[in-house]
Amino acid sequence: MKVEALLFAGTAAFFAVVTTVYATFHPEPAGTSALLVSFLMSALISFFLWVQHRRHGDRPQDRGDAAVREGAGPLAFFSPRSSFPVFTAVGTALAGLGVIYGLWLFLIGLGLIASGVAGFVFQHNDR
Amino acid sequence: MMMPRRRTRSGGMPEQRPEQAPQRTPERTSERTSERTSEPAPERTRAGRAARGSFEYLDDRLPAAEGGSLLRKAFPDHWSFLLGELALYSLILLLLTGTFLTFFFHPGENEIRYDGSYLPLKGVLVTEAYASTLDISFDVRGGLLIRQIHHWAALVFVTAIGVHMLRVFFTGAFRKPREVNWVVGVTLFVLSVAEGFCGYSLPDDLLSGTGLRVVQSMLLSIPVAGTYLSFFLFGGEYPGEEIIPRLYVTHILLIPGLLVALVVLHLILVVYLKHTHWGGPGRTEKNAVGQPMVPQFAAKSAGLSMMVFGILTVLGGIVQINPVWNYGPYRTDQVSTGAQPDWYVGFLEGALRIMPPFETQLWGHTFMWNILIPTVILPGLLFLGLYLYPFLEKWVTGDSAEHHVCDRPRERPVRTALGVGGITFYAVLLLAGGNDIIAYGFGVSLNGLTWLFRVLLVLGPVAAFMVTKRLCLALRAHDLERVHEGEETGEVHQTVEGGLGEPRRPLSQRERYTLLMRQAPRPLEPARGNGTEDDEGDSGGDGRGRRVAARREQLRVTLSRWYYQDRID
Repeated sequence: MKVEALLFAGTAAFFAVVTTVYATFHPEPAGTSALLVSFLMSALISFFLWVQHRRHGDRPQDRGDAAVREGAGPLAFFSPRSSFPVFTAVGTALAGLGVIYGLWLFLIGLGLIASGVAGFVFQHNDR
Repeated sequence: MMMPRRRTRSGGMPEQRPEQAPQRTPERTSERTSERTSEPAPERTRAGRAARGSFEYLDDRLPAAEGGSLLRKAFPDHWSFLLGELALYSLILLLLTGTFLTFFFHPGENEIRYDGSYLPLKGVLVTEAYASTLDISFDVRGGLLIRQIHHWAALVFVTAIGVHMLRVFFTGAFRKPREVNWVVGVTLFVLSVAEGFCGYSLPDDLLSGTGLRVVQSMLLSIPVAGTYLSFFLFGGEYPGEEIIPRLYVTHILLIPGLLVALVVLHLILVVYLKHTHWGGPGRTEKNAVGQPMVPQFAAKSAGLSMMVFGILTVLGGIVQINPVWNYGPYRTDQVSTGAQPDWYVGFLEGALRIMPPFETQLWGHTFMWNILIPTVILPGLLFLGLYLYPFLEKWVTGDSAEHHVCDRPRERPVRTALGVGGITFYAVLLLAGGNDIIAYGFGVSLNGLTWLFRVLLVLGPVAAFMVTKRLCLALRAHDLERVHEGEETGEVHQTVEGGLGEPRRPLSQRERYTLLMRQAPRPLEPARGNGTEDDEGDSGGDGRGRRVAARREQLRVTLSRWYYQDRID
């Protein structure tokens, strides 16, 4: 996962620079905390991917001299189709609107989210 | 005329009457071997003999043996076939709770000073109907629970009928031989709405009284006869003192009698015609495949009934509904905000709210189109459309065969799209019925909402029709792709060249059969020869008659083509 770790490390570095500049010249709590959190999140992802790289070693994607045929083979299971992402997204949108318009709408959204997540989890139960 | 010829296939017990044996009393035969007569072997246990004896006792007096064939009657098994039972069990609960309420409700319009335990209304002049409703709610043990169960069961009843009707519509279960049952069912729907209206108007509170005034104006808007109808119904000027007792009799005797009779007819027809079943291996138009009535179907049904009763009781116990003490007694000069009827009348309320203010003055009278169209003409047309749909579809498609296999909705794109368009129309009207609540809750302009609903009412069903039809065709194309190429497995692998691939798994034999078993029907062909060429008219009338018939046939062919021309094979 070396390439991915480096990608996110680059993102983290970018946010580190921007946060420093922002905090120095135009300190303001909302923006500074948003940029700081973005740096931390990117750094976290990069760290996780680096740990995976250390654990599993180099993949063909991580080596510059790898041949294409080295990557052949089964990859992973990807659900061919699912309606639950749309379902959960609609529920999240309603829950977000419910924060504005009232608890009743939030609860409706929450119900849709719960059933959407349950659908996600149990859709390929028989695999 | 031919009766539907379908064999039930649930391993039916052949119908037989027990032989009229010469000995009527069962003998103690534990020591004897069975006789070689045509009689079945004598029971060896006391329980067996008792069972046989009691059966013979009943069969000598009642048609018990004829009922035996019903025991193994096949009931096709699918969750969507249980929706009608939801309505049936809600109705039973309504009858039970309603009977309890009749012991305590007094439908009088004479005014008394309220003297019960609800103190905020103490000493207020209210009608006896209102006072007795408050007594039920506060002073009768369990009264409020029963009242709330009754009201919730009414809402669930109408909902279940509507959902059941939609299931029958979308699966084409209204076609021959079930057209009469469809007509009975739509009548039940109309009656249930009327019954609900009568029921919630009985307590004579401010909210339902507002609805009563709407009904009066609806009557008044009817040209020529309107004033007479209003005076007839209310026994004089509005509100008078007759309406509540009349609604009471209608609510506890007239409509429930009709409802029960029609429900019994509806169920008899289902038993006689046998229920439809979904397509699949072994299921044809000539059989009915399902579970036997005893014990599987009876157990499922009993369990469903317990669930319905339980859920309705919990709802009645913990969710408040129709708190008439908050609304106060009906005063003709008052109305409160947020006044909506029960949900099943909401579509009429919405139609009334978004109708533009059209009226015409003719011969000194005012014709109030803005009341007549939304409350009289619109529901009239809607229910007429519902009643006539099976016959219209039959005329358009030219399909007079018997149908016992359910259509998958996607197999009939135009019918499904028409249904969804109708639902959209109904939904827009229902939302429009709550336009003041929506405006208040979301902080939008009421006039803007009214215009939005007017536009949506016209464009929404059309858009819904087009989208649904395309969706149905796309789903059918997807099904055929699955049949011809197999199901996607999702197990992605990388090829030697570096591409990504996913194997496909062929469908099971049963699934392939189910998806391929029916062809989409073809549109009607135009009759040989053109429409208007025979005009060597013997008499002008005859030629014109032929031209009219030809035009009708042309219309029929055009509509049939519209119905069936888009197909995926």
